Order: sequence, then structure tokens, then C-alpha cells
Amino acid sequence: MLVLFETAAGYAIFKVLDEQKIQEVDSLWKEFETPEKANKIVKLKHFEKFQDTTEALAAATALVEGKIGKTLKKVLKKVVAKEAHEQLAITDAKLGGVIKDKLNLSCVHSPAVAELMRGIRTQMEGLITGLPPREISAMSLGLAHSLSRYKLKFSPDKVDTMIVQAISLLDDLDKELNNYIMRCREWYGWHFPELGKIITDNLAYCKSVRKLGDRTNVATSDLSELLPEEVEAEVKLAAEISMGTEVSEQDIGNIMHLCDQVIEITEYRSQLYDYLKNRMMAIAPNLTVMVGELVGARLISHAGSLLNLAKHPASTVQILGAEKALFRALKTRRDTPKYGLIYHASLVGQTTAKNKGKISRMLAAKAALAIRYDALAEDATAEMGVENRAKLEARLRHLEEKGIRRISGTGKATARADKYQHKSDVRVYDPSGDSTLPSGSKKRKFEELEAEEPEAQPAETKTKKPKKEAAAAEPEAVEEEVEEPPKKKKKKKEKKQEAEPVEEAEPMEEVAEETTEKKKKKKKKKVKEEEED
Amino acid sequence: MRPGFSPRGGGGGRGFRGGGGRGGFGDRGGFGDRGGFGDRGGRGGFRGGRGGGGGFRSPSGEGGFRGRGGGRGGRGGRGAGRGGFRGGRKVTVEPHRHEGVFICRGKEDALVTKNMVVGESVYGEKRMNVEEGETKIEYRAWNPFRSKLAAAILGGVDQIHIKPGAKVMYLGAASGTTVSHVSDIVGPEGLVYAVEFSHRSGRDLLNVAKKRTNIIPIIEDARHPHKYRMLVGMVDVIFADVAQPDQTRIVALNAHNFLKNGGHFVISIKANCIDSTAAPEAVFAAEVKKMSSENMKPQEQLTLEPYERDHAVVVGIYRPPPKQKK
Amino acid sequence: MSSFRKALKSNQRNHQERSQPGFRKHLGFLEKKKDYKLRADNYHKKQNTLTALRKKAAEKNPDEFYYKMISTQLKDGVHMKKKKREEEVEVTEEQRKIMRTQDIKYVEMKRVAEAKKIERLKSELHLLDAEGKQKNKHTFFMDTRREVREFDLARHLNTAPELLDRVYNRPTLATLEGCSLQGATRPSELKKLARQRRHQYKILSQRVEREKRMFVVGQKIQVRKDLLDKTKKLKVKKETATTPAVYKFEAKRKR
Repeated sequence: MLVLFETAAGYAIFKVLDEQKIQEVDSLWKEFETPEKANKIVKLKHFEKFQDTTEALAAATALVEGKIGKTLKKVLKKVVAKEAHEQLAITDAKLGGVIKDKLNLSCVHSPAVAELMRGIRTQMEGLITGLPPREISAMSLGLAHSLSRYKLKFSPDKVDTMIVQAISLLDDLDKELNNYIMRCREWYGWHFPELGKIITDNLAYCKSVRKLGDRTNVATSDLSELLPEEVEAEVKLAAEISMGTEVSEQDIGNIMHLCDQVIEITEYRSQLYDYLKNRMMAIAPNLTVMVGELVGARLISHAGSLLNLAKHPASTVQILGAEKALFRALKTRRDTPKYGLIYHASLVGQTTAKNKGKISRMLAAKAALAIRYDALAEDATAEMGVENRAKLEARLRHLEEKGIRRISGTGKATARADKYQHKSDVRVYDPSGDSTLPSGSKKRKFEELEAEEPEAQPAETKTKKPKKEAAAAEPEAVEEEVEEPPKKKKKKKEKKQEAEPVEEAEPMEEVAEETTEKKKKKKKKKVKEEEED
Repeated sequence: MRPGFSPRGGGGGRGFRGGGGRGGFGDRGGFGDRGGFGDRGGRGGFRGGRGGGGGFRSPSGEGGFRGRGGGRGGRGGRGAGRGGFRGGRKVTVEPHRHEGVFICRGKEDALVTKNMVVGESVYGEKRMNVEEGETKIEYRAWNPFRSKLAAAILGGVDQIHIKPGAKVMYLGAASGTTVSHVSDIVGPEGLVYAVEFSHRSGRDLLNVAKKRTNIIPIIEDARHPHKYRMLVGMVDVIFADVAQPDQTRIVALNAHNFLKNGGHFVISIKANCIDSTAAPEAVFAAEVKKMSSENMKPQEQLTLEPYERDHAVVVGIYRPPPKQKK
Repeated sequence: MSSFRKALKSNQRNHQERSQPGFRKHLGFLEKKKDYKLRADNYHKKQNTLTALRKKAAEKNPDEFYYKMISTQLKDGVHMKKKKREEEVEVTEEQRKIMRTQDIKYVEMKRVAEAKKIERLKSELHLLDAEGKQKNKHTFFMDTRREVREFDLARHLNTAPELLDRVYNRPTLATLEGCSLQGATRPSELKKLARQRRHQYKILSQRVEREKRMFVVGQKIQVRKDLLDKTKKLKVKKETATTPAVYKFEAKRKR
């Protein structure tokens, strides 16, 4: 019988020397008390060492899933080649089944086999010669780490330490840059003070200084690619009448070195900013879409890590960065601040001061969801962020329009906009509300209506036709129509007067008729409006 | 000069356990849900350290090491730290019954382990520095309110079997807080196989394992030990803190695969987790019975008051060697 | 002329009252009408008050009732608030003060701050020597009845019998002989450290107490806020010093 024993260093195939001893399960442990005794029971037949960690990782993952990896296949094929009749003892019954299917090797797994495995494991270093125990433990450590990383789907681009470091570096660079620029201005200002006042942009200043050197070179040098023309002209003018002192070559050289540094750092800063933007988009795409890269990066670095940030409730995300004001307000029982770092998001920036509080709260709520999605979800798409941002922008628009629609609550309370009244509308008294007589059963009304409908429609169509003919041709049509509704109304009035003396049945008819009349009127009005348009 | 404490410190006396004469501290009572010890878990109140009691007791407390002189050849001026030179005066570090563990008494009153990675805290715990001549040793505090093993040690367990150089399998490693302390105890010669199934905690565990090379992180379900058989050798001790209803079976499976003959196991049982309706004592007894049927012989059991409620730790031996009849 | 008369009065001497003559000085101050008037008014005022009171007492209604009578009592002729028995106190003075002046947000903030501080303290104060802490149960499993009978804890633990009470650390005899204390070892230092430790424990217990009190006050404020709701409610449990009142609200669907 052969035994397949997997280790972190490789696969080991043992041959069982004494089959009878194996059957005595209870006393088998005695046989593995010392390496010598163990060597009498099993002998190492073949040891397939893993070439490198990738191979080991592949083998380990195959083992976890219960499949046959490449190395294992190779080893078993060798075995099959030599001793196909032997049974193979394995620890995992499922794997045994797979091996039997694929390679036609009969596998066995039983309590005796389990005991055997225990024994082999106890005497592992004694049985597998040529492998010092230190090496085995080192290999298993390395394999465990890579296997765990594989399991956790550890991807190097999802590490948020980069963001924290990058944003801190950005702040540091800004501070340093500011210092250097101030120093440069002050220093060069000794020689050519007017240049500082003329060129306000720091990078342009440094580049100009780098190009000019001594101010006597202004006439000869060409600053057109650095500065706009008027500024260049001013500079040339100022250089003539400058009141700065002369300085030596060495001093100018030093100043130019400083300018070099400034230019380099500025370039590096913009590079770093691009890097930060890339990383932010890779690590937290939804958050980036919602609040922007810089604000998102600051939030993450303030909380320490993306997972930490995800643990904060939305109210905390809203005032992250304003802790001093928050606790001061809490202690003195005043109003707490409405926004912290979120204030710098573009959505909050573009609103009026009155709505900033509301927007910051809404943005914090949606941003908190986006953060949790980024931190904890498996996939990395930005669609949720985009959706949320669209929603927020829509709400923002509503807010700006003084909120016609109530935002929170059931949202059912929509304001009823008043119906548009045309100026030329002739508003007449609608007597439909006059009758307090009960309307009776609905069924009848419906029947009446239906009865009326076919009547009404042909009548309508008839009226429509003449209307259309009229409208197509002359404005008289309008007058006609204007006449018609009053005519119709008169008719209705007459009908009404007729109806009143009659009881019950008639009013229903009239109501039906009136409704149809109204319908007709409405249709007519619509048609009129369309034509007017 | 006993620090005064209103006897009603324990609160309304709800759930008072009847054992009188405890001055109202020990009762788990409190205001409804709230126990006595700053936790809604109903721990008893307490009174400040008796340690020293004004210093008069100290000769028999810490100085017990000295005072007991007598028959044991005197505590004597053996070893460093005595006779003349001053150590870090702010704390007293006394070695614990269990090797690798210490008690640090100064302003703090803590169970500590020697830090293997000097200068770093794993989960924000307090670190204490003690100077011994030229060498500075750093200890990390081990919070018994968060760690069952620390609570068991402070509860007076006889043997934890985790000692320097041991190979330990830790089931239910979570974020690696207790695992780091176990790693401190076993030292660079020992090994800790930390098994944790949850991915979130697994990430933290991986970070801990990066710094400490004697921790082998395994992100697998402990119910299927054959899945990580490639990474594990034979171990001396299995420590289990998995909080699952079938935890005895899990430990048994792992023991059958990886625990040496005569190896020991330490299992932490949460009564609420196994059976929330039964009485805790009954749950513990049932678990002990289950263990005995799997060739795991329990040797001692202790509950973890005042640090945890309805928790117990069982220590036992696996496949005990047959007793030679003398 | 009037002005002349007034002018004449300018050099007029200030007329003075006649005081008690010399031979009657032993009788004291000579009272004039204005002094008498003061005295008489005072006396009569008092007498009037007394008669009024007597009248009131005479025409007192034996069945009179005022609601304040329920909670006050006459003590030595003075009306004093009846003191409730200790267990019945619903809202202690401290709670009343806090509820009147502080906001629930402030109370919550203080409570959370205390809780965090407690956590931090608990990480370094492990109740090693604390008296009154709950004792845990330690069971040993033996093989034979004989072993159970002959069980000796000190021998089983391989430690000195005096240390058996010291549950948190019972070093074995080997450790006792071989190892030593490190750090501060002199009795004076130990005393000082013990004092500091006790102080820390006291602080910890104070913080625990404070956190509990804050929690209770916070709950009571919240209940009072909830009572402002207009839905029908009925009281299920009375308020005590350590728990707020419990109300059951009518089940009503909210919009």
C-alpha cells in the first residue's frame, strides 16, 4: 500500500512495509514513537518538491478545493507507471474519489489510514530525509501567507495606506513649496523687487527668475512662453528702472538652484496629485465620484483607513474634521457644526449658503453608503456613486427652486400647480354644483353615460368636422367656436329648466348629459388651445 | 484605611445571588440590564486593591517571595534584579505560575506578556517598560475582559500547557489579539497555527502574522481540518475559542488530525452559544461529557467570573498515555 | 409782607423740643406725641392682627382641604414637605438638577466619554487583588474516589499553602525558589505603588458609577421627551431612582 502525504515542501509518497501492523489501529501509535520504529513501518518512496512558491500555492489551492493539481498529477502518474496495482492511502475521501476517476488508482481512507497519517505527521522530519525541520516550518509559513492572501483576494491596488500617505505627502509638499517660494521671492527681491509684484503666479515667477538670472538679461531674453505679452512688457520696463541692488554671479547661481528646486517640486506635486487621483479611483470609485478625489482622500486619511471610515455613521462623516467645534458646541449647549471636511465637496460648494447645511447632510448620507460599498463590496464599479450623485443633483435643483416637491416623508404631497388660465378664456358660471339632489346609483349613471356617449360622439364628430373646416381656412372659425360654446351652454340651461320640474330619472340623464357636455366643452377647449398654439 | 464604598454600589440588588455577606458588591444585579462593572453584562462591583493594604500586607503579598524564606532555601538573592541596583522603579514585575506570563503591578495591575516585537502595540494595548540593568524589557498588557485565556489564567487555572517552545493550534483566532499574546508566550522557538474563517478578521490576523513569524495564519473553516493539512504539523496544545454549538466536534476533528498523543486541549465554552435556554452548569456538564466520548479526558474546569458571565474553560488531555500500574 | 416775614425767619433760632427735665431724668426719655403715635400704631397693628387671627381660627372650617396637605405636614408649627421614604424616591436631587439644566446630547456625550475612559482603565486594571469580586468556580476532575477524598489543593497545584488565596497568581515551588521579582522591590516602593493602585481602582469605580448615573439620567430625559408625543399612552412601570418610567404607546401607523 502506498501513502500520499502532503507537506508544505512537497508531496511525499510512502510505501507501507508492514501491512499487518497497520490493521491494529489502537496500537499503531506505539510504532511511531521513535524515528527508527517509524522507518520500519513506512519508507519514503518518492518526494516531489515544489519548485517555487507559485507551484506550492497552486497545489495548496487544489488541495483545499479537493481537486488534483498539476504537480499531484505528475507525481501520481509516476506512481501509476511503476505500481499500478497498489492502493493509495489518502486523507481526503473526496480527493480519493477524484483520483480514482481520473487516474484509475484505487484509493483507501479508513480509521486505520487516519492513524497512519497521524503517525507519519508525528515523525515527519524523521521520515522525510533531506529536509531539515526549519525548512519545513519556513515553507509552511510562506505557503500559509500566500494561501491566505489568495483567499482574501488581497490585491495590492486596494491598499488604502497609499492614499493616507499620499495625501499627507501632498500637504507636506504644499507647505514646503510655500516656504521655498516665499524665500525665493524674498531673496530675489533684493535684486529685482518689482518682478515679485508684477508676476503673481509662483511657478511663472520661478521660471522667469530661472531664465533671467540677473535683471540685466531682461532685454536680451525672451519670456514670451512663460508670461503673457503685457506682463512681459511690464517686466522689461521695470527692469530698466529697478531699484534693486547688484548681486554677484554666485548669488544668482544659488537663487537659480532654489528656483530649480521649486520647479521640480511643483512638477512632482502635480505628478503626485495625478497618482492620488488614480489611486482614489481604483480604491474608492464611488466615493470619488460623489465628493471628489481630494475630499475623499482627506476623509480616508482622517479616519485612518477606508474600513474605519466605513464604520462611521453618516452623521459622523458629515462633521468629520470639525471635532473641535463639535465638542465645544456640545459642551456649551450650542448648535453643533453642520459640515466638516465635506464642506469642500463640489456639491456643497455650488449651493447658496442657506442650503449648504441641507446639502451637506444629504451628501454625507449618500457618501456614507458609497464608502461602505467601496470598503466592503467585492466588485469595484462606480455606478452606485454615479446614481447617487445624480439623485443628489436632482434634489439640489429642487431645493434651489424652493422645493415644490417635499423631499422627505412620503413624497405624495405634491403641490398642485394651478391650471393655466388663458387670458382670452371666457369664464362662466358652472352650475353643475348647484344641484343637491342625490345622484342615485352609479350603475345607472354609467349606463346613462354609455347611452349618452355614442350620442355625444356623433354629435361631437359633427361639430368637429365643421370646426376643422373652419379652422383650416379662416379666423371666423374662432368666432364660430366662441359662439358655439355659449350656444351649447344656452342649450344646457334650457335643458336644465326643463329638467327641474321632472323628478329623479331626468336629473340623471341631465347629469350624464352635462358631463358629456362638459367633456365636449373640454375637448373643444383643448382643440381651441391647440389651434391657437 | 479602606477606601470607602457605599455598600449599595452594586445597585438595586436585582438578581442578587443570595450568597449573603458579600456586602452587595458581588451581586450581578444592577439597574435592570446593567451589571456592576461598567458593562451591561452584570459583573459585580468591587473595591479597590487590597494589594498592600497600606503596604502592611505587602510583606506577605509580593514579599511572600521573600518572607516565606524558611524551608525552601529562602527566596534569597537569587537571580538578577536583587541586591543593589535599581530596576524600573515604577512597576513590579512578578513571574507567573505559567511560564512566559507575568504580573505587572505599579499604577496598573495587569497581566502581561513579554513583547516579541518591541515598540509596537497590536490592538492599542498598554505597554510597560522595565529596566533590568542595561536591558530594557517591554511587556504588553493582556486584557482579561477581552481574552478568555487571560481570564482563565487570572482565574487560577492549574495548567494552560502553552509554554515557550510549544506548538499551539489556535482555533477561532479572530483578529489576532489573543493570538499575539500566545505568540509572545511560545517565543521564537514555538509555533502558533491560527485558524480563522472570517475574511474581515482574517485581514487583521494576516497583518499581525506579518510582524510575528511564529504565527501561521490559516483562513479556513476549522470544521474541515483536512483542508489545511498541508500547512500544519503535529501540535502540543489546541486552544479553541470558536463559539459554535458543535465546538466539541470541531476540536475533536482537529485533535484526531493534529494533536499529538498525550497532548492537551483548552476549550472556552460559552453557555449561551451552545444552548441559550439551559442552565450554564448543565451546558458545561454536557460539553464535558461529549469530550469524554471522543477520547478527550477533561482535567479541570473553571468559570470566568468576574471577567465574563456564563463562560467556562475546560482543560484536558488527549489520548492520555496508559497508566502504568505500579 | 410775606417775603419780609420769611426773611426775618432767616436769623431765627431753631426752636428745640423740650426734653425730660433734669430732676426727672431717672424716668427716661420724655415721649412726645409723635413717639407715642409710633408706639401706639405698632401695638394696635399687632393687636389687630391677633384679633383677625383669632377670628379666623374661630371660624375655621374643620373640613377644609387643600391639595398641598397631601405632601406637607406641620412640624413645630411650620409647614414642611413630607419626606418620602428612601426607596420611594423617584427622582433624586442630582437627577433633577441635571434634567433641568442639561441637554440629552450633553448627557450622552459625557456618558460615552466616561465609557471610553472606563475601557481604557479596564485594559490595565485587571482586578487582581480586588476584594468583593465574584468568585469563580474551579472544578478538578479525578479518576477515582480515593483521589477525590485525598485531594489537597496546595499539593495538586504544587504551590505554597499560603498562596492558595491568591488566585490570580499561585506560582509553583520551583518558580518561587528560582525566579525573582523585577523592578521595584523595596517595601516603601511597594507601599507607594499599592497606594497608587488603590487610587486608580477608586477612580475606575467612580467612573463606573458616573457612567451608570449618566445612563439613567439620559434614559429619563428621553422618556420625558417621548411623553410629549400626543398619542395615547399608559404607564406600565413607575419611575424609580434607577429606572425610568415605562410607557406603552398605542400602536399607530406613522406616515
